[in-house]
Amino acid sequence: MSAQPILKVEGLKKYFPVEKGFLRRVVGQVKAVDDVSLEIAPGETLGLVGESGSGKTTVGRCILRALKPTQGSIQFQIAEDRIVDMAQLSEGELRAVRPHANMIFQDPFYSLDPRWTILDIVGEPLKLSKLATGKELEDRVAYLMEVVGLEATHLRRYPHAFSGGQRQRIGVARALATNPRLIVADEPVSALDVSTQAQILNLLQDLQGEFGLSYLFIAHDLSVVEHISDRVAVMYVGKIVEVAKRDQLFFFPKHPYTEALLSAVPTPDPDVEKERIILPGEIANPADPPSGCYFHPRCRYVQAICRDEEPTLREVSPGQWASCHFAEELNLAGAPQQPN
Amino acid sequence: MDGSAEARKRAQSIIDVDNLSVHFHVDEGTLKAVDRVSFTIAERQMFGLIGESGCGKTVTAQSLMRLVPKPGQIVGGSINFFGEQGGKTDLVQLDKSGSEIRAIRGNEIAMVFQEPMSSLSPIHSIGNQLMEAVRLHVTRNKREAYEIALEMLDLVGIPNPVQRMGEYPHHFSGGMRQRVMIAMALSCRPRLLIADEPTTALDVTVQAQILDLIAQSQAQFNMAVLYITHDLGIIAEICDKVAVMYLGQIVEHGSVRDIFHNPLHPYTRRLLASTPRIGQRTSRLQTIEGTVPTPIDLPIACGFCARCPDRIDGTCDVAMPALVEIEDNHFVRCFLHDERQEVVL
Repeated sequence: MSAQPILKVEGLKKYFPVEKGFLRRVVGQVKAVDDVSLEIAPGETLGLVGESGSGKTTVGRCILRALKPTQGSIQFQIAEDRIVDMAQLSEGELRAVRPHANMIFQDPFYSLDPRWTILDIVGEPLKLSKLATGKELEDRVAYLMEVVGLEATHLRRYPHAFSGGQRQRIGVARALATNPRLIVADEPVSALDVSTQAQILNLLQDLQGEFGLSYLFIAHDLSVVEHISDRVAVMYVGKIVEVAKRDQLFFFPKHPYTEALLSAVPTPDPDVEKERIILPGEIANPADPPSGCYFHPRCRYVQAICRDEEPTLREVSPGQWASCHFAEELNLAGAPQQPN
Repeated sequence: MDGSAEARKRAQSIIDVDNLSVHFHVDEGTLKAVDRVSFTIAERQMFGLIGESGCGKTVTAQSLMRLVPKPGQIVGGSINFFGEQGGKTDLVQLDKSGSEIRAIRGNEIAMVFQEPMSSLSPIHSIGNQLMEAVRLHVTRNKREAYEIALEMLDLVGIPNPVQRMGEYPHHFSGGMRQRVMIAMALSCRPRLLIADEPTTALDVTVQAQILDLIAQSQAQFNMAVLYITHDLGIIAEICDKVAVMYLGQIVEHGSVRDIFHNPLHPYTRRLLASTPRIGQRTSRLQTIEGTVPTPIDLPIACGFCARCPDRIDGTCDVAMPALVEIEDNHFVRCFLHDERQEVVL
């Protein structure tokens, strides 16, 4: 990538210890995130997809330091001339960095405190980072409400007075409050109905254009990810198995897991005939992953080498990285192309 | 309906819902969760019911099992269920906890729910829960029931069924629990399976497994399926017929090709346009303005008119359009296509 990335994650690991017995002996490690590297350019949206338990949320939480990574570096460019390593910062130092990166959560019903007014909710990050108080704070919140398409006069209402889509707009306003450069959106539309989901996706795109935001967009719905992302990374059991530009990944996947994921997405067109790959079994347990390539027990192209040797993530064609021993040889099927 | 049409309907259909209304009397007024809904499911048909949250699709399914929760009440219409011997029963007329409905519920009509964890008992083993249904409806013999339960677990693709019979729901993953629910539903060889968002809580690869299982079981047991979902993709992949619900009413009803290639109702069109599709190059998604109103004491008007960009002022907001057959077996409730009104009492 030519431009300086706004976020550069290298070798990120997050292990959770498994404790047992009265003395809480550590008997194993759940490798929720295991050696993940990724980059996000200014103004870019990186989609992060994977099944539940693949570690995608943990990656997002480590980047914002809601969790302390076990290992790795998280280089975050908070200003033109200033790069910090989020992984190394102390709690005190984080306080000054937090306004530059924020999060949008999945469930707009649980993520807003029912006893707080919208002014309290959206204004909290401003108060915490001492960016505004009093009248100035109120003006800023009113402005944010308008930016996300809500009535500025509804400042003193409580969350229960808003619908699901409106609550998600409140979540977006809160994330925008401190003028961040990076927003981690963790399944921001999966709790919403189709028509509301489209409204929020459009809003996120508009805001990106207006404020030059970079997004890490975490989701399991591939059609949503395809719509909003510039590049996409696919996670499986704590590792990135493929990362590429959107069209490369969706139409010319290089990892068998990506192929299977794409074939499993139902197409809203009764005349599109396609082969649906039914993966046997379920996602591996990150506390006890299989040998070799983690995907080998479910892979239909499995060979002897896959059971013994772990493949490395490598560039198989320009801008497209995959970790499969046979990424170069396999001719995998992408999503069906649709006429416009 | 003349005699021959009646006979034809009886020969082909398994359930005929006619003008079904379900109301909930709440403090704020009367909530019309299901408002004069009519549809017919033929034998061996995959019938899709699609709509957003709160449109009444689940309450419709609950009425078919006579399981509408309080304070809901079926206030009108009929649900004729056609038995194997050709006789028909109006489920609305049955006592909802009487022996007649219990002979049908879980036996001839079975249901799979969205959240398998809350539908299974955490303190009974999977085997016991499966055998309970079998012993109620199929055989009283414990040995036979065990064999049937075992066979069903094997059939739905649960590895190692003998050991799994003694385990509890928390030992199972989400996908496996849903397989158990399907095994339970299928164990009495139902003629109609109601699947209410059975894959919504599951990952996309597991969803593919479950859809495959439902399609296979349908062919194997010759049953009809009422598939309820908000996912247009699933409907397009597995259903033959589709009904689109909005605000308690069916607004459009037809074959899956009619709905996807020739949608007529403005709501269906907008719903299709607001769904992101892989490979479709649009920079912005179409949206539907506003939100779904709460169906309490609504004025007599098309339910969608406040959000409809194609509405005819002075027509759509003063009368209720009727559900009219515009093309062969393609029904639409919209004044843009037919000016007939629904008589609202």
